[in-house]
Amino acid sequence: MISETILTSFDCASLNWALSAVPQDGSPEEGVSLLGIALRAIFVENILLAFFLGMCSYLAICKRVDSSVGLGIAVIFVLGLTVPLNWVIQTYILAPGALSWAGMPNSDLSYLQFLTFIASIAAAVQVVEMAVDKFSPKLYAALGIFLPLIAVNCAILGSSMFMVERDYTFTQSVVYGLSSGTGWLLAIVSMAAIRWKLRTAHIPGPLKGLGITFITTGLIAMAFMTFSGI
Amino acid sequence: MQFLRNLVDKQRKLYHQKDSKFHKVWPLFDAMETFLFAPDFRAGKKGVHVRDYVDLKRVMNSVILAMVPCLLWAFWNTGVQHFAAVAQLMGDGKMAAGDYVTGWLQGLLGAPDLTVEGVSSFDTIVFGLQRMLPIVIVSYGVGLAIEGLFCIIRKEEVSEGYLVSGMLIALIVPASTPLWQLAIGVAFAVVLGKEVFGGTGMNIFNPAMMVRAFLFFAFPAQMSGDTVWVAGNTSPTGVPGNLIDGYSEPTALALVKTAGENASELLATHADGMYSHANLFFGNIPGSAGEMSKLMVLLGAAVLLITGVGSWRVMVAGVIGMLGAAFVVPILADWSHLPMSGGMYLQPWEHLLCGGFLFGIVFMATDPVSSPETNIGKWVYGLLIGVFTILVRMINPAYPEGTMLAILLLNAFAPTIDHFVVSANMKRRLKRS
Repeated sequence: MISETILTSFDCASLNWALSAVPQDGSPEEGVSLLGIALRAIFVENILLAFFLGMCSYLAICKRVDSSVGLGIAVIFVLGLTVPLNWVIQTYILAPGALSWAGMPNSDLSYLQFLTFIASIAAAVQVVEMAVDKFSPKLYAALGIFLPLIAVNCAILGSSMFMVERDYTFTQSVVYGLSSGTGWLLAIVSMAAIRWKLRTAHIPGPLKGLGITFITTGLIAMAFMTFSGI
Repeated sequence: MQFLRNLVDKQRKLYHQKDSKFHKVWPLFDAMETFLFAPDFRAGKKGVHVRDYVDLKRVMNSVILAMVPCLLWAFWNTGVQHFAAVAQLMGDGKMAAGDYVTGWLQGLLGAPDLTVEGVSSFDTIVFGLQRMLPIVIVSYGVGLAIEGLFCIIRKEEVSEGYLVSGMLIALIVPASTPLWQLAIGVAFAVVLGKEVFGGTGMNIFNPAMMVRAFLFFAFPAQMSGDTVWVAGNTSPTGVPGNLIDGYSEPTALALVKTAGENASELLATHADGMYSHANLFFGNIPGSAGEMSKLMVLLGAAVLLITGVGSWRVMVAGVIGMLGAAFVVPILADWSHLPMSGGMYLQPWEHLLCGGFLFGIVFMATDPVSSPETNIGKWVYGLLIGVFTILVRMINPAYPEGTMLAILLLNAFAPTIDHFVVSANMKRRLKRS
């Protein structure tokens, strides 16, 4: 229902500056503005606070603001890379009839989706990590340690699955990947700042650490309901 | 007073000696003592002297003092709105004077005389007290009980923080709220919003806002809609709450939400000028207790500013942010041909008069614990609260009012704002040296 609302509220021809990049290839979500997709992924359906995906690295890293900014940027980077990559794999290999370019119009490999996506994400992240290490040691120092950590993150796989489910086009999937990561960055940075503030708080023993983090995440998610319905 | 002093001093050993009878509950004893007497460590014999003893107790008392005008207005106006609604129903022939159900206080002090034109001031105040007092009592009772329990378990002193929250809660829920729902909301907010974070001074979110947000999402039928803003004495079958059966009237913002280009006009002419600018400002409108009278809120703001308890930066930034966004968003929407909503046709200053924004920015956003600590941070925080309030009012079709959610959202980001302000400051200073 939310998706319908957002479709109607942003589906207006006049947002041409945002719309112009959308290839009109007749997909079901044709004409959804890129701005709409971005806002929806960052705020309304925040990958962390609405779907609670990517919790493990979020919980592990959110102790310091600096490192969570690093991890957040790495997530944006990886999502911006793997969602379009998986779009290509899905469209030209896995989807029903996708292999018609190879002369196999009856093929349906979508049962391989999980395996292929995980493998492609891991491979892409690995290649990027090696490339960054080789060509830009400075960037590697900032980003590199986080890359293997998030290669197996469910937020990354989840975003690819959402991309398939929502029938995004290639451009849309690029925007979706980047903004989904931005939403994740927002959530983890606010959590890290809160945990930094809480380091001197007298939290009941059993709730110290993960317990209070879970509770706070729930409360932040409640605050993010500001955007639900847009 | 000496008599009380002697009594307290005599009792102290019952609580403060190691193996005394009531040693376990010494926080309650201390709370009672600080409630009655000022702490006497005012100035040292030598060294640094404390010249102005602004302790937590005095800060909290200033806030409570600032809220008194709003509360008194609520006692009065809850009754006014109730009898106006009853008179309207009787005028429409939907209700006879004999059908009027009396409440507990009216049972004690005598039922109102509905046959005369205009109900007496006494009856009006009796009704206001009848609805508002139980809310205040439940809010304080449940909250202080939980707080006391936590303090006993943790062997800490009970602090005064909840005295403000308890009063705020009474001012931001509709007077028709069922008391059991209020109790659940208070328990949720005090335990999960405050005590687990370490009690007073450590909460990330404003506890009073948490109560309202919890009730808003858990019991939307009792916290939003057209029927809950005027309290009554009956609960229509299947609907919890103290309502007037058959009465329904949209709030100013709900009205605007459904309006088109004529939003301002509709607001001024609806139901014989019910939401005229004067009524909106002076508070002759239905609503939650605190949001009725903007005049009373401004009086409270004056108290907060003169005593220096509330941050003027947050208030000024909030109002600027709201007016600015209310001015800019419609222009942007028009320019990019986005669909226009009723809120966009309202004048910016009319947005200030409608809903609970003024109350929120004066009393809720200035909470020193859940707002940023740096001065620049306070500006950013206030501005964004104003902007998000307007965004919800104008482009979110789900809620007519956005103050509560905007403040909660910025509460979540207050530590982030602080962090970046502080680290920018550090960078600048490092560069200088």
